[in-house]
This record gives sequence, C-alpha cells and structure tokens, in this order.
Amino acid sequence: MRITVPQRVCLVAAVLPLLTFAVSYLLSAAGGHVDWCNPYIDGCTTITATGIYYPGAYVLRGGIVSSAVVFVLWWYCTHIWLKDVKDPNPGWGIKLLIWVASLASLTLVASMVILGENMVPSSDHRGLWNFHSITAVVFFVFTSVCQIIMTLYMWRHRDVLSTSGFRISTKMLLAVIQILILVVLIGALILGKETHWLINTSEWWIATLCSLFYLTSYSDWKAFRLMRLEQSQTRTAGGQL
Amino acid sequence: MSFGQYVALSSFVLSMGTIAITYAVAISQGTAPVCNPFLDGCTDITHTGMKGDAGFIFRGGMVTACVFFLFWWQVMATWLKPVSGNISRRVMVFFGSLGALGLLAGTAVLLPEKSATHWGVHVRGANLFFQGMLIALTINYVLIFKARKQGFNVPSFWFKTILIGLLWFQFIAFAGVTIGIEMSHGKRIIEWWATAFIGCYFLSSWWDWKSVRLTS
Repeated sequence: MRITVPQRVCLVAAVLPLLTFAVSYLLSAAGGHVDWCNPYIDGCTTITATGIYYPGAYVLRGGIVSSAVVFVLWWYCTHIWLKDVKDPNPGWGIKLLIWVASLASLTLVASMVILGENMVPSSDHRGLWNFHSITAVVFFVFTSVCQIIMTLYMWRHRDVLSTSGFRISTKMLLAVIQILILVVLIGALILGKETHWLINTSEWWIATLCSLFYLTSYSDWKAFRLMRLEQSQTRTAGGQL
Repeated sequence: MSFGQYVALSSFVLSMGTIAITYAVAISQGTAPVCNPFLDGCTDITHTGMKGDAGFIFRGGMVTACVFFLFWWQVMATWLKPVSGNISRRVMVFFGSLGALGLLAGTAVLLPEKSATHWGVHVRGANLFFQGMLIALTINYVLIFKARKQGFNVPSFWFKTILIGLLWFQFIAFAGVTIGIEMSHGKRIIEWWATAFIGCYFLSSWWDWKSVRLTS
C-alpha cells in the first residue's frame, strides 16, 4: 500500500527537525562557532547556539519553522483520526489538548525567526534572548506534556484505536523518558543545582524525543488517508473507481 | 471544513496575510515607503520584509506559508487522481513543490542589512517560485480543463481561468516576474499582482475541495 499523506506528515515531522539539528550543528562546528562534541552526551553546546551564526542559522531557521508547521498538521491529523476511529466527539479535553499543542508549535516559529547574528552580542540584545528563551521553553514544556497526555489517552483506548503492542509501547517509552528528563531538569532548577551540561543535554534529548514521537503514528495511520469523499463512499459500497 | 479546505485557506491567509501585516508593520516602523504598491510600485515585497519586526514577521509567516503550499500540491494531486495520469500529476507536483521550496529558501536567507543578505539565493529562490508556480499552475489548469470535459465538477473553474489568464498576460506582456536586487517600478507592480493572483489560485480550491477529507 502506498504511503498516505498523514504518514508523510509523520515522517516529515520526525525527520526534518532531526536532519535540521544535525546539519545546523555540523555547519556551526565547521565554522568554529561551536565546539566539536557529541551534544547528547557532552552537552558542549545548545541547539540555539547552532542557529546564531550563518549559514547554520539559515538552516535552523528554515528547517525548524517548517517543522513547526508540520507539527501543527500532525496534531490536526491526530484530531481527525481520533474522531474517525473512536468517537466523532472526542470531548473538550482532547480538543483543548490539540489546540494547546498546536499553539505551542506556533511559539516555536516565533522562537526561531528571531535567531541570527542580530542577537550578537547577547548583552546588547537581552530582549530578543529573553523572548527566544521564553518561547522555546513554552514549546518544549507544552509539547512534551501534550505528547505525554496523548500517550496516556491512546493507552486507555488502545483497543478501540488498534494501537496496542509495539505501537503503544513505543509511545509510552518516549513519554516516560520525556517525563524523567523534565522531572530531573525542573527539580534541578528549583533546587538551584542546574548546570550547563544538564540544560544543554536536556534540550537536545527533549527536542529529539519530541520529534521521534510524531513518527510513532506512522503505523497507526496505514489506512488513514486523504480521499475525495465520493471515492471513500464508493469503496465502502464495494464499488470501483 | 475538510482537510483540503483547511490547506487551501491556510495557504492563502498565511501568505497574503503575512505580506499585508509585514507591509503595515514596516510602514509603522518607517522601514518601507507608504503607497499602494499594486498601483505605485514604490517598493517590492522583499524589501518590506527585511528590517525590524517586519522582517521577523515576514520570515516566519512566509516560511510557514511555503509548507502549506507543499501540502496544497499534495491535496491537488489527490483530488485529480481519478481524472488525470500519474506522470502529468507528478510533473505538476514537482514544479509546484520546487517553487514552494525555492521561496522557502529565498525567504530564510533574508537579513535586515542588504549587504549581508545572500541575494544570490534569495533572487534564485524567488524566481524559482514565480516560474515554478507558473508552470505548475498551467499544468494544473490544463488537467482541470480536460477533466471537466469528462464531467469532473470544478466549482472554481472560471475563477481559475481568469487568474491563469492574468498570470500569463503578465508573463507575456511584461516579460514575466523576474526578481532582482533592485527592481523597476513596473516589475514591482507585477510582482505584487502576480503574488496576489497565485494566492487567489490557492484559495480558489476552497470551493473545489469540500469532499477532500482524511478518512480511515
């Protein structure tokens, strides 16, 4: 069966940001703007730092803004899918969740468009840095929380949604890891024990886990496709086009 | 609202809305001259979205719109699937997507200072948008024209006919929309109108795509 449009959304939502992080980091490191290391382990730099100097900034800006739009489309597809397979009226809680997640994705757009050499030196552009930091935190926290809640919802209704076994286990694993990272990070911040290493590595891991989460719907959406309604009605009746 | 209508509407609102808001903010911040650019051509779209807050709005809004343009072509291919061949649809989607990606790249490299901007990338990207879209929209129109003869219902057909006619008239009469670093008043006027026509073509699918939905 050919890959469906919603499945393409899943793939792009996962692959595009990960590819963007990698290319942006490589360009920035090659340009001597950030250190060479494994940022997931060494925490030598942040994703933001790779998007300050050009050409890495162009890549991060274009790639992540595009990704944010695809995230919104993923949440839209999820909403339609839930209405289609489970309940035409999934309840105000799920609708609110999807709205919040979509708005969080839009804060990522705002966070990214201001990045660039216009923010250097940081001491002269505190306003821009504060804006970036706040919108980035809003995106990460709200997206992670929404993904975790959506996972719990899908777990509860896994039989109806036909998302049992490996599919739901993958979602649960990603959600649990995100929860652990958030708990450790927030705990450290509250206790004043945060370090650059903890903040930097958390950023890379949360961003990656958020991106991978979107891929987990790929298997769920094998039969979820974009169709002209006349076609779907004909198929239901066993007719051929 | 179906998924198809959502994509059609978003493509129009994000692109045209971004351009309108960008110009308004640029005027308020004194970074763009005040005029009716559709008649006076005092500025081109690019220069309204370079400096200050207008620059942030333009870059964010247009990159976002370009992503919706990519999905607009995917929906169009799905809608035309029963009435057109695979090769023609793929060629159409190729040029449409190329145009969208060109504009995305061309917008992402814009900076507040003209001297710091990668004009080579921007000019090539913007030209790829106008020329790629013209080719893709023309293929699209021809496929729709042929499909109508087979009884395919296209509520927006006459609107699309007017728009494609205007786009080709501009291309032939005024040697098309070719973006440059410094553009003449005439070229700027054409740029604004061509952009508006393309945006309206995207919107016109709102009336066609009521039945294009996501379904299991």
